[in-house]
Amino acid sequence: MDNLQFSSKLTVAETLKQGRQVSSVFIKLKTACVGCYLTGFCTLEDVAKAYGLSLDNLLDELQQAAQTNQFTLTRSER
Amino acid sequence: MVVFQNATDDDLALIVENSITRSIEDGEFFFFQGDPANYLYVLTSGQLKLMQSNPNGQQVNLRTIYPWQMFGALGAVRTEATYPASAQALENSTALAIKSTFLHEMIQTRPYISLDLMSLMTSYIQEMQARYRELATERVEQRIARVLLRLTVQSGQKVDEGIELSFSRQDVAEMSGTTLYTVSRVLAKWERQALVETGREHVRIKNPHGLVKIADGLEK
Repeated sequence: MDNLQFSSKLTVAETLKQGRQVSSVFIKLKTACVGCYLTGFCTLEDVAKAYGLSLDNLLDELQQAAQTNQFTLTRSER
Repeated sequence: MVVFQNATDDDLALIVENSITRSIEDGEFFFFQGDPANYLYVLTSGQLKLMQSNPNGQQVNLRTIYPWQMFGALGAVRTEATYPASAQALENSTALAIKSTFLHEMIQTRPYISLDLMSLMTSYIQEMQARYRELATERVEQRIARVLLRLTVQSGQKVDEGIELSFSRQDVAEMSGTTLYTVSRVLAKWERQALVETGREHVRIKNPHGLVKIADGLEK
């Protein structure tokens, strides 16, 4: 479900601009988005579809990450 | 065991008499690339890989050897040869090691050994040709995909059915260091796979993520 900060129609590039910690979500979910050429074109909806992820889960994770102020990955996520 | 399948029992006995059995553990080597090829081997149990390194230390796995396959046979053909690859055990393995000079002599009077060795070697050549062909075509596809993606970043327009690029196939060919013919062939293939749609002066990317997978080798 779209939340205040992240809607499914947001592109990955726009999402990544929300802060460094946001990129950790893409890494944790094992997508190739960080550094991809198409971040200006792919929406979060596209990402969920391409990788078979739950869109709701993706948006929640992004919101959670944006709320913490740190870029962190647990050992198993790296 | 292709090479000795036409041997008489007497010949087989003679070969075994002139062999020794070697056993090694998982991870150990029967021989290293560059060692003199003094023995040829027939694996009797276990599993191995044959691998080559280049001067930079990059390693390529050439082939896996299973029981009753022969390996390291170059010395029987050319007595001054060195092993072109290293043979490392993938599990505890045992092999029959036959002195290369002995088999080299036997070949003089047993044509069937030569023929069988040639048959083995031609099957290796065919396999390598197929793999080389795949590598060469994969590299080109990857390059073309990357060019399309870079163009997308620079001047792609998002449309309902994907991303529109205004570049001709000739442009793409020049930018990916390949020929117009190859670009046409690859784009036609991708069109059949619904990745792109092509026209005279434009390419439309219908499946952007699919193209990224090719460009970045994501699914190999």
